[in-house]
Amino acid sequence: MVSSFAILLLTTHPSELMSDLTRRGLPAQFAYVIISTLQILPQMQAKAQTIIAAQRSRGLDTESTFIKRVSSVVPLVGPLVFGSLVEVEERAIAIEARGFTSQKQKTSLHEISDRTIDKILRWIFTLFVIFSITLNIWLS
Amino acid sequence: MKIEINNLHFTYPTGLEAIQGISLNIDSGEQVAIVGQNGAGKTTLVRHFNGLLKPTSGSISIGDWDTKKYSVAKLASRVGYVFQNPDDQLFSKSVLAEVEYGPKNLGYAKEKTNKLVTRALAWTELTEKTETNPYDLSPTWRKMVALASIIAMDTPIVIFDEPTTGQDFANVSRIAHVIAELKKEGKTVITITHDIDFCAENFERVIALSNGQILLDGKSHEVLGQEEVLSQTYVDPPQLTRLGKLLKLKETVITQTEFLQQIARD
Amino acid sequence: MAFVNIKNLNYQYPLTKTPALRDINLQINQGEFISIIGANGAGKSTLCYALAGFVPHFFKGEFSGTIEVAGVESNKSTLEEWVLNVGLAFQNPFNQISGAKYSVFEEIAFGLENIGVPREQMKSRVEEAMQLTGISHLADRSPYSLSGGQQQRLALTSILVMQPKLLVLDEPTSQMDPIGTREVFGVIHKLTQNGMTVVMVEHKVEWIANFATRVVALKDGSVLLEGKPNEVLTSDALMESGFGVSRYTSTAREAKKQGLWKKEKLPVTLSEAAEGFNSK
Repeated sequence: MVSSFAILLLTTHPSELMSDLTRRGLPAQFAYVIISTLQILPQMQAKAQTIIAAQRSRGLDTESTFIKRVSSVVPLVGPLVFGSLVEVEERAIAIEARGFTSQKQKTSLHEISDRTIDKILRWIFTLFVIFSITLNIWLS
Repeated sequence: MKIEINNLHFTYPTGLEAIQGISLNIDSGEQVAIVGQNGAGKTTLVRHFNGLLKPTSGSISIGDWDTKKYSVAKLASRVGYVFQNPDDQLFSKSVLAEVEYGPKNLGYAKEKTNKLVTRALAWTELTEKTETNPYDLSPTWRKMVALASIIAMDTPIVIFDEPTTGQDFANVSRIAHVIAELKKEGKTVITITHDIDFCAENFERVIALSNGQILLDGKSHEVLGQEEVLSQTYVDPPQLTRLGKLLKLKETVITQTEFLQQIARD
Repeated sequence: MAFVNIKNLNYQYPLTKTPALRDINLQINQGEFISIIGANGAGKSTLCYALAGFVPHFFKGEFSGTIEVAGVESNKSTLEEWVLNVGLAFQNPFNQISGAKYSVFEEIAFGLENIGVPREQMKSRVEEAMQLTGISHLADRSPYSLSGGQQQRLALTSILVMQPKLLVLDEPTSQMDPIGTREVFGVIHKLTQNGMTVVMVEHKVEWIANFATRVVALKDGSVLLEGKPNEVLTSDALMESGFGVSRYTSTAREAKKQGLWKKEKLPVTLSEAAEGFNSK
C-alpha cells in the first residue's frame, strides 16, 4: 500500500494529478487538501525542528529518561498546533483571495494527455489487479 | 562569563560551509550586535553559543565549558536564547506559567524562581497580564512573553535573534529597555539584527559577518562608519551616520546626541 | 465620485469586547497610493481585510457602514466576486503560497485556473505578470526554494495576475531583510508608475515618504490624521501617538528646540534633512 503510493508520487506530477482528478469530478477542495499536505509536510518538519531547538534552549531535556521525554510532549506539540492554526487561517485567506471558491468552471494550465496507449494500459492494470486479488483469494 | 571562539568551522549536512574560520572573544558584560546579509552565518554562529550546533572543527567555550562536552539543556543555565518567532516556544495556559517554565527546568528554588519571574515580568511590562493565556495576546505582546521567559532564567549570557523584526515603535522601545536592564546587571547581550539604527543606539560593539567570516569587528563607531565595507554584506550605515557623512561632519556619528553635539560645534 | 469610498465603517470581531474599527470615512481616487500607518492594534490589518472583503465575509462579526470600490458595495457582493476587484497580499510570504503547486509559473496560474481563464490566455497573463515583478527567471523553481523577498514578489505576482482594480498590501516587507525589502519596494514603485491604485500598510517611514500620495494614520481603530506624507509624518500628534517616525524627523525636532534647525518644516528623508541642516 505504502510503496504503491510512493510509486504514484514518484511517477506522477502532483499538480497534473490534481488537475486530472478535479476534471474527473473530485471536489477541488478535496484535491487541494491532498496535494498541499504533501508539500507542507516537509515545512512542518522544519518547523518542528525549530520548536525543539527553542525549547531545548529553555532547558527542556529531550535526551534523558523516558519520563522526562514524555513530559516534554506538551511544549513541543503546543506551538506546532498553534502555529499550524495561524498558518491555516492565513493560507485560507490567501487562496480565497485568488478565487479558490469561485463557482466558475475551473481550467487547467497543463493539458492532461490521455492517449490510446494510456487507456489500454489502464485496462490492463485494472485486469491485473482483479486477477491478483482473485488469485490471492483462490490460493488462500 | 567569557565566550571564546577558536577557528570555528561549521558545515551543514547539505555540504554548505556556513562558518569558515571564525575566532573571537566576547567578554563578560559586553553588548554585541551581529549584522550581515541573510546567509552570512549569523544564526549558525549564535546557535553554537548554546550548543544547538556543535563545531565541525575548532572550538567554542562558554566560561570554562567547552560546548562539545555539554548538552543544550545544561548550557541553558549559562546562555539564554530568544528565538525570532515567539510562537515557536509559547505553549502554557498563562503568561506566568510560561515565564516560570525555564527557571523550573533549571531547578531553581521556588523563592528564587518567584523573584526572577517577577523581575522579568516587570521589565517586559507584563505584570498586569500574568493570568492571560499567551495565545490571547497580540503578536507584539507574545514577543514580550517570549523575552520574559528567557530573561527569567537569569543566564549570564542572553541571545536575541532579530528582536525588532515586525515590531512597532512601542515594542522596540520595550526591547531596548530590557537590553539596558540586562546591561546594568552585567549580563552579556548578543543580538542578531538587520535593524541598524536599533543596533547603533543599543550596542557598543558590532560584528559584521559575510560568507561565514568576520568582515568587521569593533566599536560601533568604527564599524558602522565604514559604508563601503559594510555594503559588501548589504548593510547600510544608520540614518544619522549617513546624514553626518552628507553634511561632511568631522567624526562619524551614530546617535542623535552625538549628531546634535557635532552640529552645534561645527 | 471617488474610486474607493468608505462610509461610517464600524467593525468588531466576534468574541471581542472592543471595536477594531470606529467610524472610518475615507475616499480614494483612482491611481492614488495610500499609506496606512499606526501602532500595533490601531486597526491597520482590519482595514485591509475590510477593503479586501474578508471583513465581514470571512471573519463575520458586527459590521456597519459601507465600502464601495468602482461603484460596487462590498456588502452587496459575495467574497468570490469581490476578490476579483480587490487584490490582497500580506506580511508572511510563506503562508501565501498555495502549497498546491510545484513551480513558480504554476503557482501564479493557480488563481487563473480557479476563475476559469482559458489555457491560451493563462500563459501570456502569467508571463506578463512575472515580467512586471521581475521574477521571470524563477518560473521553473519551486516556490519553497525561494528567498523571502522572492517569495513575497511571487505572492504579489499571484495577485497581480488576477488584474485587480485595487491592490491592498498589509506590511509586505515587515518580515524581510534589507535586500528583500528593496526587491519588494522596487516592484511597488513600478506599480505606482503604472497607475495602480494601492493601499499599503507600512512602518518604514522613508519608503512611505518616497511613494505615497497620501498618508492615513490610525489610532485605536479611528483615523487620527490624514494628509500629504510630509505633513502627517512630521506632525507632533503622530509622534505623541507612539508611532516611530524617522530619525531625521526626530533629530530635527530636537535640533529645532536647540535652535539648530531653522526651517519651519521638519524633514522625513535623508535628502530633506541634509538640505535643511546645510542651509542653516
